[in-house]
Amino acid sequence: MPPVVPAKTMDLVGVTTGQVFKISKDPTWPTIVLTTNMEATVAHTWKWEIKWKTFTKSGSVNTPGNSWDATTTFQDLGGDITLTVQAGPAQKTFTLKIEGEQPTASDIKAYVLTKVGVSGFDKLIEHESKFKHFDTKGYPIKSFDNGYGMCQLTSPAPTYEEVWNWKKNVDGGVKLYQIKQNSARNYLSQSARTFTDSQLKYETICRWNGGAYHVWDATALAWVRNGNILCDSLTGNIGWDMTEADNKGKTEADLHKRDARPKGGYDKRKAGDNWIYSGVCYADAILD
Amino acid sequence: MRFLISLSLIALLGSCDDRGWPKLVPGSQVLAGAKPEVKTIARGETWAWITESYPSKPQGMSRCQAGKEVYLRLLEKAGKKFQQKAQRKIESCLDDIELAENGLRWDGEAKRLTLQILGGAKTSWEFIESKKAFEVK
Repeated sequence: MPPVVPAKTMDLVGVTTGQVFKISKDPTWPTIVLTTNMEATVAHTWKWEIKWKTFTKSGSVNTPGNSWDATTTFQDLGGDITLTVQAGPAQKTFTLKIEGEQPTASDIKAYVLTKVGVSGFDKLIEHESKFKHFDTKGYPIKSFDNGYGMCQLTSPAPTYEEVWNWKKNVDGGVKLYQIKQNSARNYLSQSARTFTDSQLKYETICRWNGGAYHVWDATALAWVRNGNILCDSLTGNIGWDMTEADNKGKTEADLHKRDARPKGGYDKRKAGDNWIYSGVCYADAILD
Repeated sequence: MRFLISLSLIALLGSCDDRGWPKLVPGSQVLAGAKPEVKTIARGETWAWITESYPSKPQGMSRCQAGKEVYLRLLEKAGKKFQQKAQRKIESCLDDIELAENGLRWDGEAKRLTLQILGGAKTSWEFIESKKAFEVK
């Protein structure tokens, strides 16, 4: 009777379970070539799933041998990979990770500048997310309201790829910004009026936050900043409509003292409050 | 071409505010729980044109945190109650809808309301005495 040969235990060669693959700052996705220690001519089935937060993708690949180049499969994705490999009777599950490296501010600015209709968008990203796309663990940043990545994409809901690839994340933000810039252009060019590049930038950033920045001065025949809005310079986008009776004749210091919390900041706005969130103040805070 | 203005009968009949006006269901683009700022544009014995302005639901990177979603509504009396006869969104930070300059004008003599959305067509509604109703002109 021949001796019983124990089945060979499957393992990955050159890759350890739990291994972390890094996305470079560019971003370039890591090369992930997986090889098992099984016979090179034995067909393999690679069942994979990649998951991060609510994002998930999965699939299955058959190879004629013991090696699979998974690089393109995981392109633009990140998080935890679960891999179940089968070769004949042998089967084993492995885990791997893909994490990101923080891109540089100059690379992000340079990328934004390759787009059209985005004048001011780099300032907006800097103001809102300080050009940060990944946290210290290498995962995309996530805001309290489920905004993902440096552009805090919320609605339309971002794809898995837009969350992990910072360039695609910027593309998603750019699309929204270009819509605002078109609106700003339509507004400023109504009745065949003219405007400067700077006015377009202020108008766009104001509209991003809400409302129009400029009003038409029929005497000067020019667009001018809405002079009825007084901003609280200690905040990002809080101000007062000075045409309101309760605000008229008061200074910024008077109004801040009246409306802000004693230790700074403002409570959640309620109907009837005399202060407002103002796109005019938002644009001033970002661009001045 | 004339047609009655019963464009969008989506009023929640039976759900009225303290003026007896049917409440608007503004949808998911509005900040949850926000109360509207209501302005009366024009009012007759049996009808009212109003606007309701809500704060937009803020998005990532402070998008539309200071924005508004504004609805134009025509309410007409049916028996003792008012019913909504028409509703149109006339300003929206999230949908990028904006009024043109003087884009909402009421002509009291002609009993005509004119709406001009920036980049869009002009729409006028006129009160037809014989029908006691507004029609799009």
